[in-house]
Amino acid sequence: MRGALAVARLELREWRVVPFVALAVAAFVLVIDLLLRGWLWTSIAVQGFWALLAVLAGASVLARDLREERAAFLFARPLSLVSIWLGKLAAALVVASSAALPGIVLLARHQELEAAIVPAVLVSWLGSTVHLVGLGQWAGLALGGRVGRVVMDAMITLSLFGALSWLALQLRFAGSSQWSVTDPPLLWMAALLLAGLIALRRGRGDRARSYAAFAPTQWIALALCVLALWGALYRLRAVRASTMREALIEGVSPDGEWLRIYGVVPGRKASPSFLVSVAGEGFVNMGRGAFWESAAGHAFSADGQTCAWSVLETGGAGVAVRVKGRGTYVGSLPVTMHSDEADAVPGIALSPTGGKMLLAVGRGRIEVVEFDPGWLALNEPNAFRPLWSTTGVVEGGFLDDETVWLLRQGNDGRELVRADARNGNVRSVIALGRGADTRLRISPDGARALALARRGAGWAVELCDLHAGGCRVVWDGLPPDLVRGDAAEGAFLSDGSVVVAARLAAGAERSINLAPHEAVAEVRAFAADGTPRWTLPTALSMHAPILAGEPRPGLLFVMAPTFPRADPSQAPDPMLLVVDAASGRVEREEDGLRPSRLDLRWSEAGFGRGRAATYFRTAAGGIVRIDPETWRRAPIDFR
Amino acid sequence: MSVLSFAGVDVRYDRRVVVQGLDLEVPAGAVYALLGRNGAGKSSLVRCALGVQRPSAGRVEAFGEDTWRRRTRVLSRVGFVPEEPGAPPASSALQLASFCRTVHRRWDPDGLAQRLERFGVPPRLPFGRLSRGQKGIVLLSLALACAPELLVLDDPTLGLDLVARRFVFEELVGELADRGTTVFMTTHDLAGVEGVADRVGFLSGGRLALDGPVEELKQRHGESLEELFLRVCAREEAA
Repeated sequence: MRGALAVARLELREWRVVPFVALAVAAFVLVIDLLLRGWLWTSIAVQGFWALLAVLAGASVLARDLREERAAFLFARPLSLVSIWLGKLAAALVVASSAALPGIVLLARHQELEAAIVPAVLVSWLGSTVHLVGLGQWAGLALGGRVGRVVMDAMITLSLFGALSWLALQLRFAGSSQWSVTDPPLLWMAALLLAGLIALRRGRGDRARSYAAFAPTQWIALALCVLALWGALYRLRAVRASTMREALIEGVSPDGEWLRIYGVVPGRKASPSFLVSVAGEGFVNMGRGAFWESAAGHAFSADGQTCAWSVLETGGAGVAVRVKGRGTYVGSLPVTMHSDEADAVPGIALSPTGGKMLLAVGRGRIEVVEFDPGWLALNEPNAFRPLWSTTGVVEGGFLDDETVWLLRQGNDGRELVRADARNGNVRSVIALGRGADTRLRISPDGARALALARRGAGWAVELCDLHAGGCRVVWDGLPPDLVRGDAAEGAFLSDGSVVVAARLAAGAERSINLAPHEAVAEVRAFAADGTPRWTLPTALSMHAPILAGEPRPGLLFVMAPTFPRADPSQAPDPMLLVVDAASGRVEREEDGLRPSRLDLRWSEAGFGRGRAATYFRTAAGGIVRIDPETWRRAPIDFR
Repeated sequence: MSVLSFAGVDVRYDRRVVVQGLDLEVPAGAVYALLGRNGAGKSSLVRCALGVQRPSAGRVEAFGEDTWRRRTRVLSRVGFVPEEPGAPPASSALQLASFCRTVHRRWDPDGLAQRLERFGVPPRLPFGRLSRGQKGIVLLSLALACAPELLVLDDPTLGLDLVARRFVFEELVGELADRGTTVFMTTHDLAGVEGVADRVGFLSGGRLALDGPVEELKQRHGESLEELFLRVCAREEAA
């Protein structure tokens, strides 16, 4: 260290004129800036001055001494090569830093100095300085070398750096948490510095030998970095469902055989999504294109043969459609949405047979597209044929293959519209109360809808007949703080009846202090015509009980806290209540289970039927399937 | 025991062979002068001796240690004066001395000051503004100030005036030799060498054409060093 400091001091003496030049340049820049009253060109000039000095200082690290045959002065001393190199490098950095003086003066004049001395900016600036010094070191050695060799060196180096940048970009798209796009310049900087040290070590006092050592060292270092990044990308892209930790279910296919899961994968910022066969028939990584963690909304066709999900492409939002073949979802029909609102990820619904797709594109626009008869042929963008589109729609879906329902924002509130999927002709319109928070559930047969809409001061649940066009209030007077339906949910059962879960207390925070016996949340059942059938009180939770599915006709799963609670001041653990759909009697309580899906209230994916209703998460984080006959829990292993 | 030894040393630049199979030993306390024409490979061998250049083949050792691998340790006992007097031009002799004092274990500031004063070298003038002869004196003075056990001189009298040349050969080298310091030098100044060198080697055609004590060579061949040198050169040209 003492040797390096001595060398640095000796070198700095050689550059002692630089601070004075920098001062002169600063004064000149200040005058020009005052006269021109615009700092674009002065800013470019000071940056150029700094960059030039940094490169020149870098070139002096090795090349200047060799050219002027002064290297012997240092090499003839009992100084380690590392000390010589470090001392010279440190001096070059100090010189390059002093060249920033005009820039500092300019920033101070424009009152930008405060913004420039934050740590991130300083680190970035220091990194750039080191990089420029490294480049100067390279240029200094290359100058005077054989032209062909220098050109080849430059081409190889820039190609490797290009590859490095491309890989870093791919890693970013792939959601890497360990690599970023700022890494390639840093890696190149490290390669430059390493090459400088090796050049000094191998070449010592000889310029040609130094360059002969410098160039391949830089290539090898960059090539190793390329290999490392390629390996990291390969590893990241080769992620399998089995590598996920604490997988969560985002959706279940109608037949319950395929799950959409997501979870944490080591080395990734975001969580990848997979379609996984419960029977172990395969899995599909739903991320694709430029952004591997981009899979968003998804939809299954009612027959379970088709699955579509939205992805984010570099050019905008896109849709990936896959159909089942040989037991797994195969094929791909990628389409990029060329929309002026391309950044909006589309919402997706599929018609029951999967032949049509409804896309919510951007803000309030709905498009219905149809797949060509031969759409199974892969990668045919033209297989998508837009049928019609409309605007001002909040939500939509299919009633059958020819009819869509749309939730539209009207002048006085929201409207439920039934329209022809082919031409957009409106067949009926139902007004659904005021406000913009209406939530809908469409019956599996497409004939009725359950709506949570604002009525008076609070909320009401209405049962609507889509063919006749009328609605009947089945549960009125729900508290006004049911924000966006989080504290209420409704579903249709297979016998046509309706169940609704809601929180009754006006304010969860106040209600938490209620006595354990007070029922503040309820599940109510109604006949197909809206006539009340039974009521099931449940203990308080922050939200309404979750209607977890109908594992078989006549049986309802409700996820809710139960009475009594040991500590009324604590939110109770939820319990799976197995409810007889006809009487409302709780037949069984299963503890230690959590809803396996995200909170998907009021969505088709949120209320499974048959096997699709039987997946739960355990308290330990695993996923299990419950057999509604034996009540045995079978863990789901994605391996 | 030899302080500096070259064993089977080859020096090549690309395909050009400059030195081939050189075996040479410099005994402790000897003043060895390596003679040869321009381009014979003398400076290359000096660089090898300092660990600045790796021989293409063979081994160079100083104090029993490989000069390429143990450069720093070897150089802690070596003083060196290069052929081209180069040093950071903005630093004065005193500033250079201050630097050398930091990196060398032993240092003789009084001796340095006396030598600079004796030859009228302005100690505070930047090195770049000194004459070539003054630069040579500064570097020689710095090399001596670290009290080296081995002094390596690469044509040290090049560009020196007569007084300085005499200082180098008769007084300095003689004095150092008396103190037991080993000197390895390359030079074209045959007359100067004749008075101080114990041994000489003639480098010709990449090989050591003649090697031995000065007096023995002169007696054996009945010629002065200059005549011997010319004969070796003529033989090389004829070959």
